[in-house]
Amino acid sequence: MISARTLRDPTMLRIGSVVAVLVLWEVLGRLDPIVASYPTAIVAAFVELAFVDNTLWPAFATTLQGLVVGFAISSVLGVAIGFAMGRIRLVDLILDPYVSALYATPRIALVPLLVLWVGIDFELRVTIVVLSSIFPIIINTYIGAKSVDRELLDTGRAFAANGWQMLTTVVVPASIPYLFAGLRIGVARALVGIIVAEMTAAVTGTGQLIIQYGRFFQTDKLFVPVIILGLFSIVLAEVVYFLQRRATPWANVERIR
Amino acid sequence: MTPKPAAHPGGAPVRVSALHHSHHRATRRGFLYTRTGVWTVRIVTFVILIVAWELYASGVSRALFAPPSAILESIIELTITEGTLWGALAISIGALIAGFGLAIVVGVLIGLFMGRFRTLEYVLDPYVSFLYALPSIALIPLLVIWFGIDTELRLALVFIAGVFPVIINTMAGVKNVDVELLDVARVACASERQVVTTVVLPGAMPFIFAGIRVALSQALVGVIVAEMTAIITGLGGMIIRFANFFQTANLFVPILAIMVVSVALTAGLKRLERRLMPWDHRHAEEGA
Amino acid sequence: MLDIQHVSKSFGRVAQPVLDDFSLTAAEGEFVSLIGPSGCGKTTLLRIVAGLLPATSGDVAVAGVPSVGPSRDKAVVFQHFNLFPWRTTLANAAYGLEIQKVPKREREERAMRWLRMLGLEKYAHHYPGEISGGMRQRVGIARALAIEPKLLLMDEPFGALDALTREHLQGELQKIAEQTSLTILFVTHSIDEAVYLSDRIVVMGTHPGRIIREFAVDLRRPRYDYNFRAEPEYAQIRGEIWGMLERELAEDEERSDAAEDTTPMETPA
Repeated sequence: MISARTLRDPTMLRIGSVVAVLVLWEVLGRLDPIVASYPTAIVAAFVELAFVDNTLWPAFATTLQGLVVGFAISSVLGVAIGFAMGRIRLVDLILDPYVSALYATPRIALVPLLVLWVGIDFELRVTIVVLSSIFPIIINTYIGAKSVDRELLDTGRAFAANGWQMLTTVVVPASIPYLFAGLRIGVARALVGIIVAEMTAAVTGTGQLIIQYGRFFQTDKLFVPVIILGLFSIVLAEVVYFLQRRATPWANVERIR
Repeated sequence: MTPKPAAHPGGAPVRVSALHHSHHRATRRGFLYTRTGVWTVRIVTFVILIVAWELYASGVSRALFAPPSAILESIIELTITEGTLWGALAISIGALIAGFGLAIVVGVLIGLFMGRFRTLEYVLDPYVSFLYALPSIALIPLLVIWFGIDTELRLALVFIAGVFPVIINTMAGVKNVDVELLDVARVACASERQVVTTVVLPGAMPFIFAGIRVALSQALVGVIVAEMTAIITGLGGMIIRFANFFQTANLFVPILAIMVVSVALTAGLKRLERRLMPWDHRHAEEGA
Repeated sequence: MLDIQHVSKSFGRVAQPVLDDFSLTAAEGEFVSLIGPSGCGKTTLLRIVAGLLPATSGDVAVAGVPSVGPSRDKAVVFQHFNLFPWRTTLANAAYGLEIQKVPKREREERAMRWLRMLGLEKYAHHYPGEISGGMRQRVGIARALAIEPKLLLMDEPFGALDALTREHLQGELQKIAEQTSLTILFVTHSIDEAVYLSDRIVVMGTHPGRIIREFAVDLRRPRYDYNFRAEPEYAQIRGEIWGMLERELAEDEERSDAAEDTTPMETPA
């Protein structure tokens, strides 16, 4: 018995619409599989690539390696630079034009240049990941460092905190939400960056799979890495969000009535 | 410039000049906050950078590292002597504006409907969120299968890259409109159309613009990606061609052009924002 | 002019109604205040009359016509002004007329007239962000009056203003009420304000929201011309209302304590 209430429930609507589209896709897709394939074929392809052929996981692992290393570098560097720019005027003035200019440039435009400079393998991946993800981290950390409530700073000064103490006890904790906002954006961009690198320059990795299957019109296999990437992107965002909530226990509590 | 007195009950308006503030800060905080100070630092760092680069590149392989002098030559050649840059620039910007423009119109409409009608939001939300999270470049092979290697491909990619940030931000803006302002419209007996045009859209403008700003950078990425991977034309195509022939110095020119376009368009957008939303005081705080 | 008959309002599955059998009539030109403790439903009643909320039962009629939704005969002035930040003072004041599709020149003229009456003509082209709270509320009042309604509904309109501005605007409101034949329904927390402004004061109780008593205020008008607080009648009415409200609050506590004693203890979340 489906009551009118159930039909309006948000989760039901979401699930319902996804199911409807999947059914439609299945029916229409079979007419001409090359155009968009269809769900059952894609699932079959997934099984084949993941378990039979064993092509999916190694490629994914390669992508993941570059992603993790690159993101680790850019988070550490990005946060440090962001704080430096936020608190020291000279650093801000010096770096700002170049940060802005590089941020404004699509990373893919830099790939050929970087290929000439660092080659096409692991170093390229890491460099692209860093270049893709470091700017949102820098910028958001910078905003966070600059947005610390004046009153909190005055409190620190009233207790005669020195520069380092101010940084660690006031500025950093106050900036954590902004920092994590930057990390969330950064992780998404890092993923984009590495896929871009793999689709244009590298010879291995998930991006390369997409290129290959596209080249040979294997649409069903093509969808597998694409969908996995999309899902992975969402997972990454949730992970960062989760870490943020752990890092800021004071921000989420319900008021005691 | 002296600040106007703060408001007394039922009295004069409150308005403090932003210029007054920054002048005050300059005299309090020092050289680095004055215009001369700022520009000195910028020019000095730039000069140091160029000189260091020139020396390094001349020592190592000139071909590989492209010293600024070589880059300057290339710039002159491509913009003036041979002038090939302008054609490519026109092609890229053309695709950008067409796809981006369409993305804004469609995106705002969809975002508006999703924001006003909960049912529609729940139905479309999974797809919008998923496609927003997906890097648009991953769709290229699929788009090639659908559109072939043609102009439509570029437009499609630019459109897809730009439409989702606009949808999501418009939707957030629409949902964020102060409920009490909607009450004002209802009390005045406004029709749904009047409510949307007089309250919802103006109220959502800041969010919509934020979405457009993101969409612009995404759309630019889309253009370049399409030009570098599928249809080798425009600025992206220039990059590929120069890279294939190892012409490193020339390679910098389209890259710099893209940087300039991006910065110029963002600044232009900010200007437009300021003109369209004169009531928004956030802009008064942005400095030199 | 205003006829409220046995209006009740309940929300969802909550046992007790927010408003219980509320009836009130107001004649043309009368100034009626609603006063009561927080949660007594006075704002809810105002919203029902304005047409923003449906009543669970009962009827409301304005000028003899049954009122179910918003209409041109009614205008509202809100506590938080609710001006559109993206419109100038003039455009805000003309909003109601614009929705009624009055042509531009005419509506701007009409709006200007009201702005002039409220002393705002110099700020016609300013944005709300540039003017003070008192001025913003005046724009809110101008906006409500510009459509020339028969009934003016005011929801604690001076509650968000400082004391000086509040008194100033109370005087101006009286002048406006004198010059027009507006019927005004005024919700407030302040006994002083209610006595200053009204012909009649309706004291409400809470849990459920209902009328406890009505008072006629016979202090002579105009009340901004003399020190009305020095009149003995002022002290008398004020004392009575104050005592009534205190008693109501005390009884309300007793009632909720009694209710707690009979409901089973729940473990805290």
